[in-house]
Amino acid sequence: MAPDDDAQSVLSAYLDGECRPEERAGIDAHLATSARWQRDLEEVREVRELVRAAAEVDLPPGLLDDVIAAVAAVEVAAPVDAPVAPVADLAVARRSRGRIAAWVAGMAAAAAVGVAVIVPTEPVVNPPVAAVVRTHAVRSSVDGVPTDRLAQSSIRAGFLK
Amino acid sequence: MPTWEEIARDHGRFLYAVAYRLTGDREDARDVVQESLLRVRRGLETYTPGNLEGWLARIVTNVFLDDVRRRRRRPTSALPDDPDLVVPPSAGADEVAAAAGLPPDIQRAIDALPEEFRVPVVLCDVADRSYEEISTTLGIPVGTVRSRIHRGRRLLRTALVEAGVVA
Repeated sequence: MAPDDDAQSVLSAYLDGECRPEERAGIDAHLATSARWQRDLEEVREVRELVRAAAEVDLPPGLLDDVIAAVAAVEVAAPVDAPVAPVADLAVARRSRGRIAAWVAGMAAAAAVGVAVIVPTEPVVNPPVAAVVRTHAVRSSVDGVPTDRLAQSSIRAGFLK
Repeated sequence: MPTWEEIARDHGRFLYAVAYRLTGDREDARDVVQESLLRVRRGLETYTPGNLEGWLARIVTNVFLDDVRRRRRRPTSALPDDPDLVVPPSAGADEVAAAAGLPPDIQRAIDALPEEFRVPVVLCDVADRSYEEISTTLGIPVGTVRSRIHRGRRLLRTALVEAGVVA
């Protein structure tokens, strides 16, 4: 095998225990005779160990508590199946969640102190239809005017009293 | 079956380590962990008990890659004219790396790796995932995983030699 990157990609697999047995035997044979492969193997091993040492990361104090509280808040504000804003918009989502939480808290507080919530309704109109018809009917009977000719009737209605 | 909160407590450090090595930024890592736990919470009902850290590594990687794709689609916004509106500089790479317990040159070298190499290397060396798992997570053949990990390590070495970290 030529010692280029493609051929040598087996060296990383070799270090990671990701080679097939027959492949490993071939690499062992090659390493036994090639100083360059031995050097390359050591170079890759060194980098691999440096990166693996990076696996230990100091967790910032309070981060887990904060994140758990944030995720729990999302669960309260929205059902599990509801769509959730992606990570790039987390800041926006957090602000939005804050507004919803504030609204919910405000409504709860209002209920607690007995504040009435006024719900607007359709206005109710009760025209005196029967009285108007009756008046015109009286006028019609006096003047011989059909009731469908709706002239003013208040004077005559008053007169008939 | 653990609850999502138990998973957060028991595996939060693992999630954060992978997220931090992928993003190279504490605040970004925090957001990735938060989004990951949200997906854990939502996906827990369909999760089949077994390789929990493999599942978590897949979630945190997908969250990171989703964010990378979204940032690529989003146009870069212009700097504000008002100097008072300019966001103050965040902690420097050296400070951040020191806080994470890692020599700054190594974190810088990891950050400088193109994503196509950084993600397989981090999944292998930080998340300790097998090539098969990385292949499944990234949707690429195992042979590609193998070559990207090796190429990534060679690139890291070149950067570390230039930085004088290794001879």
